Amino acid sequence: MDQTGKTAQIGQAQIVERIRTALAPFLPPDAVVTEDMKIGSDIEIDSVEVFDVVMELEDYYDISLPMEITSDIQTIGDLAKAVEQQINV
Amino acid sequence: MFDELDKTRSIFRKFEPLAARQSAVLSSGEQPFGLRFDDVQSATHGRVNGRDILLAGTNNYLGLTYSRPCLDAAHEAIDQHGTATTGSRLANGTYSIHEELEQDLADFFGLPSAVIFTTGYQANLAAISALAGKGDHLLIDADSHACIYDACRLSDAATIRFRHNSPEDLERRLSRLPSEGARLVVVEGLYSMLGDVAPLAEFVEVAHRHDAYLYVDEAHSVGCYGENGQGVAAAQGILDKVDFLSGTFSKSFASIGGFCVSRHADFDFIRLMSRPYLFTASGSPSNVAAAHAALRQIRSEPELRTSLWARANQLHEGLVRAGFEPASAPGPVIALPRPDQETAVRQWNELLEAGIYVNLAIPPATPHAMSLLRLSVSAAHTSDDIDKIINAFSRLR
Repeated sequence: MDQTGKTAQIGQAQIVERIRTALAPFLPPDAVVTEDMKIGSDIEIDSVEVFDVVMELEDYYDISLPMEITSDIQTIGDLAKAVEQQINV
Repeated sequence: MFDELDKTRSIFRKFEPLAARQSAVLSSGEQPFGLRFDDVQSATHGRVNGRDILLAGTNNYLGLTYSRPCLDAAHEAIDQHGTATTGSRLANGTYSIHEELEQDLADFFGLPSAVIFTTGYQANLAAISALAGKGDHLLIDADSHACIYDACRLSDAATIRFRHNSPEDLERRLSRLPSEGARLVVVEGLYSMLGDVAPLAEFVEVAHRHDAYLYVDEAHSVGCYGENGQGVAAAQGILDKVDFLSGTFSKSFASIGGFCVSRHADFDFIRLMSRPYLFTASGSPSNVAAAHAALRQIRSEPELRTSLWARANQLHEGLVRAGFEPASAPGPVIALPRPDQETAVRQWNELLEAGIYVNLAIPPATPHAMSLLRLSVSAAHTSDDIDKIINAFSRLR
C-alpha cells in the first residue's frame, strides 16, 4: 500500500477478503459478499453486528475506525476504502 | 397532493419494517411497549384493564415514589414555586431549590462540582457532548445506553467503541490513539439490560495510565450500591478517582431529572456551553423537590438498601430454583434471557395475565440480539410480592 495504484488496489482486495472473514459469523455459510453490496440490505446484519465487524477490523489492522467514519459507510467497498485510509494515515 | 406524496415519496415509508415488527409482537396479546396503566396506586401496585397488577419492572429501586417526604416536598414546591419554571437555567430557570439540590449532591459525593439537568437522558447528552470536543476522543463501552451514543453524535469528538466490560480491550484502543487531544472513557456502573456491573477499579486504572478521564453513568446504581448509596464506584472504593459521575432522578430518586458531579471544579463551565443544558427549561419545582427529598432519604435511611438487597437475593434465588438462568449475579436488575423473541413475548403476556408486570426487551434494544424478560426489584416489594413473582414465573409455559 504505497503510491502505486496497483499496490493500493491489491491492498483493497485483501481488505475486502478480510471483511468477508469478519462477516462470516453473522452470515449463512454459502453467503456471497461483493464490494458493491449494501450493508444492512444486501447483507442482512444489524447495526450492532456491523459494529462488531468494525471492531474486528480495527484489531486486525491495528487502526481506529471512529463511529463518525463508519456511520457514512453504505457498501462493503466503502468499508474497505475507510479501512485503507486509516491504514495509510 | 398528499395522497400522491404518500404513493411516491412518503416520509413514513421508513417505518414500514417497524410496523411489521410491532404487528408481530401485538399478535401475541397486549402491547408490551407503552402498556397503558389505568392508574398506579403505590410503588409496587397498579391496575391494567381493571385488574390489579404487581409491578416488577419500574426501576423504582428504593420505592420512594409514594414516600411521605417525597410527596410532601413535591406538594410544597408546587404551592411555593408553581408548576413550572418556564425557562432555561441560564435565564429565569434557576431557583434556590435547583442550587440547593446541586449543593447537596456535591456534598453527598464529596466532590466540588455538581450540575443538575431536566432529564437523565439530557445529563449524559449535555455533559459528554460538552466535555469531548473537536480533536478529542471518546471511548465508549459497546453496550452503552442510547443516551451515551446520542451524546457522541452530538459531540465533535471522534468516537471509538470497546468491547463490553473489557479493560483490556479499552487499553488496546487507547494505545492506538494519537497523542494529541483529550480522551474521555465512558462506562456505566450497572448495565440496565443485563444487570451486570462494570469493573470500575480496573477501568479507572487503565484510563488514567493512558491520560484519559473516566466518566461513569450510575443511573441504575446510585441509591442501590455502596455503603452510603453512592453507587458502584463507591462500592469498589474508587469514587475519589472517577472524573465525572452522572445519574438520573427517574429511578431511585423517585422523580425526573439528572445530574453529573465531578472532582474537577472546572466542570461547572459546561453551564455556559452545553446545548442540552442551555436550550431547555429547567426541572419543574415539584420534580426538583421530590428528588431532593429522595436524596435525603437515600442518605438517612440505609434500611432501604437493606430491603432492596434482601428482595433482590430472594428473587434471584427463587428464579434459579424455578429453573431460570439470570444473566447476572443478584442485583436490582434481574434479566432472564429467553430462547427467542416469540417465547419472550408470549411469556410476557402470560405474566401480565397472572398479574405481574415485567419489562420485555427484544433486539435491537438488547446486547447480542437477546430476547429478555427483565425484572427490577424495589425496596417496597414485600417478601410475599417476591414469592408471587417467582410463583408466576414457575408456571410459565
